[in-house]
Amino acid sequence: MTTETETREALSKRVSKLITRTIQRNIKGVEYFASAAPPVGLTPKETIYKRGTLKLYHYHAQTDEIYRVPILIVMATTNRAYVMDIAPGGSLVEFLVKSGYDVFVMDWDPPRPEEKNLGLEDYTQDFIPACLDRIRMETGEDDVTVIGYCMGGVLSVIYGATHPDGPMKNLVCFTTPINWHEMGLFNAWSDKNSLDVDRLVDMVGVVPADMIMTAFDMLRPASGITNRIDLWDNLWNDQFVESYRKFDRWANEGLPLPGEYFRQVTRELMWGNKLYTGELTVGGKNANLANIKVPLLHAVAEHDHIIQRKASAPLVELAGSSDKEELVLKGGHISLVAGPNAVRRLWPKLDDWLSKRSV
Amino acid sequence: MGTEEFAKTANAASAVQMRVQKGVNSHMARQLAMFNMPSREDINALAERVMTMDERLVRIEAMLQRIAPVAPEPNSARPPRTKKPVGDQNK
Repeated sequence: MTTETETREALSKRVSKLITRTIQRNIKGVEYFASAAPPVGLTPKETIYKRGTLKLYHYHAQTDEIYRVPILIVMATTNRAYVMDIAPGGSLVEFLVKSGYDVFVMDWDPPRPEEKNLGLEDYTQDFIPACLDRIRMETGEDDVTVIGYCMGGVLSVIYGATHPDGPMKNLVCFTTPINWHEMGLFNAWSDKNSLDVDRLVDMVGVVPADMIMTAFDMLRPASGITNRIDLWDNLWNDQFVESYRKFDRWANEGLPLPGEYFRQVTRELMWGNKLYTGELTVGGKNANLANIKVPLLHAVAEHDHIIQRKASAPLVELAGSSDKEELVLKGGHISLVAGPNAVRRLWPKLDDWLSKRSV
Repeated sequence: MGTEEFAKTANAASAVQMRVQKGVNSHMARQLAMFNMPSREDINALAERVMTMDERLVRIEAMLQRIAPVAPEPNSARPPRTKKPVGDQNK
């Protein structure tokens, strides 16, 4: 008798929970579509330099004293930098600022049609040095730690390899591709026999964001559907929905790429694999990874579906630094740097590595 | 999806899409010219000239900075750059 009563109570609780969640889902579902996009990039900052597609932010210090060496984060050219400051408590920038670092971030606006001729040389021999100059003017410090994420890591690596005399003091890369012949499906899609990159670039000038985002989406064609199922399942949970919307906004807010840059990346890196072979020349300088002598940390994700381990692993092998380390962490391309996984896994290790090299 | 056929089809579809877009732009430019209005290309040409001036200013600014470097502004509100790693703080 008791067992029967308990079973009935348990069933009643489950039905009640199901009904409550269904009602909550419906109410919150309406809210979801009716409300404005959630705010992102909330850590206080100011834009100290702006030039065409490039923007340089300086985040306000939040501690009584800060480390001597400032940090410059170079964002990937395909996406907005606010993934580094996605939400209070889940923001890498906020974490660094609260840990006592002086943080600068290079962000990108969509390149305008007249910027179609920007190439690797502009990004690595002009934009990064210009930002480093600004940081020196702002802080009075000659040394800077450069942190590059994904394609921002590639730009940072090329900068470092072509500027062995500084002012870069430390280099941190997150999930940065070096062996471009190990880029999986990207290799198949951009095969010389299939992709006429010159015709494409000459036709469009600036390569539309849709085209680039479609390539990323096709890496995991089912993820759109499974993500929506996850959302529906968790629609009653405000915290989940807020986080989902922020990451969804970021993932859908891709940036177009200057045609010349796209052409160079395709020809020199994807087809020629010149960053890996050491043959890459940018602005008349050889970007051989052996030229990088500064302390190097490369954090990569075990389950990164965009930059696979075989593509990113050679960075630490090929860099000329004596102080170098590869950090392999659980997670994916984005969860490596932002969100709850990053809070637990990457950030404490990053702080530990940086703090010793920032005085 | 990793096959050559898929890549060829996907790239061909992108090329067609771009060509259609270019055709629409060109048609629109003719219509705008008829109404004596600037086309996207006219605006881009102007923007390109502004960008050239912008780049020139950047170069002049960099040159001035080399000739007469500006020292960082003393700002008492900024915290001192004296922080040490946790393990070193007692040294």
